[in-house]
Amino acid sequence: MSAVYAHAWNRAWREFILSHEGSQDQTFYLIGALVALGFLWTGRDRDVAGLDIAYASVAMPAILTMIAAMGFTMGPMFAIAQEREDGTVLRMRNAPRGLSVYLTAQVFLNILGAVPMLVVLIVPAVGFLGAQSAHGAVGWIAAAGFLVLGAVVLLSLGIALGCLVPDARRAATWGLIPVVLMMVVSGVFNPVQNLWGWLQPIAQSLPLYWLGHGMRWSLLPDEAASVEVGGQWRPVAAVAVLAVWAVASVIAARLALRHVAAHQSGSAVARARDDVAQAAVR
Amino acid sequence: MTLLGPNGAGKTTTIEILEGMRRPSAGSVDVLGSDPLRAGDAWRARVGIVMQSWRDHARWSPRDLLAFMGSLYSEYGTVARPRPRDADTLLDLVGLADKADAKIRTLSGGQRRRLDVAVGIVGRPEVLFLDEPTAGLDPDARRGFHELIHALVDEEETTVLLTTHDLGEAERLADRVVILAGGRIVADATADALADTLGRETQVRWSLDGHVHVHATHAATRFVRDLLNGPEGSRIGGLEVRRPSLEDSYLALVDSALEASITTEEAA
Repeated sequence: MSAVYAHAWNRAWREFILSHEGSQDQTFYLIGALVALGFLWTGRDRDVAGLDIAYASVAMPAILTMIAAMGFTMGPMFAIAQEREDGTVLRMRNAPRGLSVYLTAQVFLNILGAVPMLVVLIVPAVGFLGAQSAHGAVGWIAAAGFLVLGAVVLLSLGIALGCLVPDARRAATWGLIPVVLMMVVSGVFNPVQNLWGWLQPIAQSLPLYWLGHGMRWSLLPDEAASVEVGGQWRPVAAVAVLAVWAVASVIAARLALRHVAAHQSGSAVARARDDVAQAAVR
Repeated sequence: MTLLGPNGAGKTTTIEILEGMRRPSAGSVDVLGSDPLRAGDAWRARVGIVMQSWRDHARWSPRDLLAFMGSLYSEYGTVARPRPRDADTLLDLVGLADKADAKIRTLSGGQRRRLDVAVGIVGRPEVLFLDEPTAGLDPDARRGFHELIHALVDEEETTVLLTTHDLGEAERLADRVVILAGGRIVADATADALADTLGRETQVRWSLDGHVHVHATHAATRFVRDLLNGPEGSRIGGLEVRRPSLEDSYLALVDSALEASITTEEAA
């Protein structure tokens, strides 16, 4: 099994290096980080909810949650929708343990890929915009822990989505909609209490709500609990719900990939190629 | 071994079933002692599949892709069959040494096909499957590919199963040729015996009293001698003895097999 991790790491590292050469992937991340920084910059004089801390500190949990929600679902979703059509998944499937290596490499690659963006975002936010953790280093470590747990859930959901979207060209619509919907109702930017009553229990069953809650608990001062549901922090519930989601979504991702691999063949890839060629002619 | 047949004969379906990519509608399949659908990773390591890529791993270089794909086989090597093959030796073998560090997306169609073959054999497979490997290759590249396959079979004792709809290619490459038509095997022979299996009957045409006669026979010389020595021999004219090409016989065989299958379907 350890060989799978070693092969997957080799693959992820090579893809990571290639994505820097290609500049397209990294541009996307850097622009995202710069937009977030600009957002923090323009709001730097705002007071929020009577908390005596920098605006960048207040917004940081929400921004980190949003980056995770977008990057960790969209990254593997587009990659798999594309690579099951272009023959990558099939090529990997034909090699011993290839599918496990491929899946693991996707997880490594997307976590690796998020690192430069987080650096570009967090270093200036802390250095120039006064963003800080109300609980010092412990807060950052807790936040990193929640990010990793959230990454397992969101990457698995992204992989499952990538397997289920009809094809790469429709991945943007079919895949983006559930992710954006989940972000809107999960109280990342706007407390869930402001939602319609019937939507609140749904929101609180979603992993993104609990990831956001965990990030706020990690980085915001204790008194910020006043804007949370019930006016209190629920870190244990956050870890428990995320753990349940992690198990469920990893199982879902494995099932979805097995389904895709079972319906993948040389002739299916050839059909996809012809479809794309025809779409290009039209 | 070559699977030969017209488009729609079932070549790709057959090879995909053998590769474990497709579930057979009936019957049982055995490749290297296992059912391909249920076989595990150790089986995968012994089987090579040459798929037709189009744009996967476009940013990788041939050397990196071969080294990475090869590394997946490294735990499955044996003393008799070390795995994987060395990437650079393999690039030499398929004539891509000068493209080793190019981006795969910059390769031409023929170069890409040769890279596909290299990936297919990087794990030193005991059985190699190729589906229409020479479709779209120019004659030069095609000849190079044939030499590569011969080398594999001779030096590595690799069993190669490939599909083609080119009769000449099947004859040149294979020890054994299986002809498929309408989803059925209509001929199964060594390349040498293929001509006999195709039942090449010589056609004898002649005219007698203004009527044209045609007779198909395996013993044309004796038939003509008997004809001319017979009672009407002196009135025979326009004699023509024609041996159909292998291609004609192949097409005739496929046509009759297709007709037969259509008739069976209608009857059913």
